[in-house]
Formats: sequence, structure tokens, C-alpha cells
Amino acid sequence: MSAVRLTRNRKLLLAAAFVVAAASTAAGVVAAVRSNAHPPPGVSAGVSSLERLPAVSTLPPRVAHFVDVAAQARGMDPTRAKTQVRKLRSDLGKTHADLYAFRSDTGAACFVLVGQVGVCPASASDGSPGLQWTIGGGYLDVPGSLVGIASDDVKKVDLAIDGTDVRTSLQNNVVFAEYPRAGKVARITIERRDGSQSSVDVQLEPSASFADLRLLHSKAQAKR
Amino acid sequence: MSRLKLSFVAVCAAAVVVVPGAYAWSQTYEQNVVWGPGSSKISYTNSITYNYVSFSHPFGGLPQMGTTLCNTSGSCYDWRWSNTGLITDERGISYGYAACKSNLGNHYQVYVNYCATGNG
Repeated sequence: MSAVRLTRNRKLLLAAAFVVAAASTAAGVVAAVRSNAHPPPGVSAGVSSLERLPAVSTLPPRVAHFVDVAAQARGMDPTRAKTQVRKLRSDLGKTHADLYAFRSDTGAACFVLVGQVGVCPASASDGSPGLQWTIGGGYLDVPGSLVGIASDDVKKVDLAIDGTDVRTSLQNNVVFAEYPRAGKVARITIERRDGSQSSVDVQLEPSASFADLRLLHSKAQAKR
Repeated sequence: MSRLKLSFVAVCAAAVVVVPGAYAWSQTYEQNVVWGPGSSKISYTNSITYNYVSFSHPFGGLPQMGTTLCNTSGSCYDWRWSNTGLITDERGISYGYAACKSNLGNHYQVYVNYCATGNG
């Protein structure tokens, strides 16, 4: 009699374990599919460095100028924006440039790599999932670069130029990498902490394809 | 005409020529247009300290836009791309022109709010 009871209990336990395992697996699959299909857009998952680091009290003139332009473009009071600027990275790349950023009223992370480039998206949800980026921009002896603001849910960002991996760094929500100017195609891969990833391809159009601009310029000269 | 008067006239003439160059110059060389892949526009030639490219993507996708600066012999810096704007090109060129462009690889049209350059 007791042997029969034990068998029944075992069966019940096995059935319960099976149900729990199946539910857990299903939930995992659903979560993975969701995260792959709809990762949070732009940097809407948050950029904690913009709160964690101290605001800069005195801005370099070029940074102040960028904040003026970017804040006005996004309908934000430039004076107030200047009180919210953080220095997220220093001494980046060949030009040893610093990167400053502030959060716009729409939640975007507006940033400037001093002397090279600034970006101010329309909102936090604008741009690639997990990364508001810019790439290219080599000039004279300065290499091309990838620079961007990654949201807190991003684990790492990989960069390949013409299929060759380029070393990247991710610190204080800032991604940075430099690569030789001759590159033609870039692939940026954004990997999130939940294991999902997405990628962006960019045709870099190096200087060999400037014939169209030369043509435009000569036409403009002829019109004058 | 006395030497004094001639000197005065010369100084005034020089001022007329030199002073305009002392003012900041700017030009919005494209605005409110829809571009397919590979479209571009260039500015007039001048000393350039910035180039702004503002765009949006009302037609879907995340089309990319770029900025560059070129000297008068047509030698250009590499394009700087992004799929979210405003992009501000912080590089400068002593004498040349600015350009903005939609990336050749775009699968969607892009709405160009403006491309604007200048100095000062």
C-alpha cells in the first residue's frame, strides 16, 4: 500500500517538475524572441553616466558652442543645457580628444568629440537599438573612428571594417574605436546583456568616391 | 589731392575690403528636401569651421546621412556618417566647401531638414 502511495507521489512530483520546466523554457523562449525582435530603441534603456558623473563647471569654448547649437536644435534652453554637461571620456584616439555629453529634454544623449564630431538625436528612442553612433571622419593623418553613446543594457559593441575586427572600448556609456582610413564597409554589432544583438552596416565611401563632389563643385563654379 | 586726403581714401578703401572678411559667414545650402540614396549638395567656398546636417526619417528605416569638408582642389576629408541627426562636423578647413550626402546604402528616403555651414 505504502509502495503504491510512493509511486503516486513520484509521478505527481515528476509531472509538476515537467510542468515547471516546460513553463520556464517557454518563458525563456518568449523573452529571447521578444528581446531579439523588439530591443529598446535608441538609448531609451537609460544612460546612467549622465547622472552618475559630476556636471562640468567650466566648459571649453568649442563644447559650449556645440551645446548652444544642439540645445537650440532640440528646443532646449542652452543655458540650462550647459549646467548638465558631463565629461564622459578623455584622451581618445590620435587627437587625444575628450567627449562631453548632456541629456536633451527629449532624453537623447547629445555628445561632442571635441574637434571632430557632435551628434544630437531627436529623442532617446532615435537611432539604432542600444547605440546612438557616428562613424568615419578621418582626415589628414587622423584615422576614422566610431564614437557613440550606448545604453546601460549594452554589454559590448563590436566593429568590423571590411570584415576585419577592430578593437573597441566601452566605458561610461561611450563606445570608441579607431581604424585605418581606407576602409570601405563597416559593420557595427551591438550586444545586449540579455544576449540579443543587432547590427548596422555602413558604406563608408572613402575618398576614392569624391568624383561626384568634384563634379558638383565645378558645376557650381561654372554657374557663378 | 593732398597726401593726407589720399591716405584717408586709401584707409577707407582698405576698410571696405577687409571688414567684410572679419564678419562670420554662414550658408544654409540645402533645406526641406527628400533624398534617395546617394544624393548630395555642396556649399559655397569659404573658410569653414563647422558643417551641420539635420535630418529625420519619416519614411521609415534608419537612413544614414554624412558630412565632409573639401579644399578647392577637390581633396576631401572622409565622410562622417550617422543614422541620427543633428550631426555637427567639428573639423575645419582654411578654404574650401562643405558637403552633405545621403548614404549610398540607404534603403529608405531621408528628409533633410537642412545642411548649413559657416565660420565664426
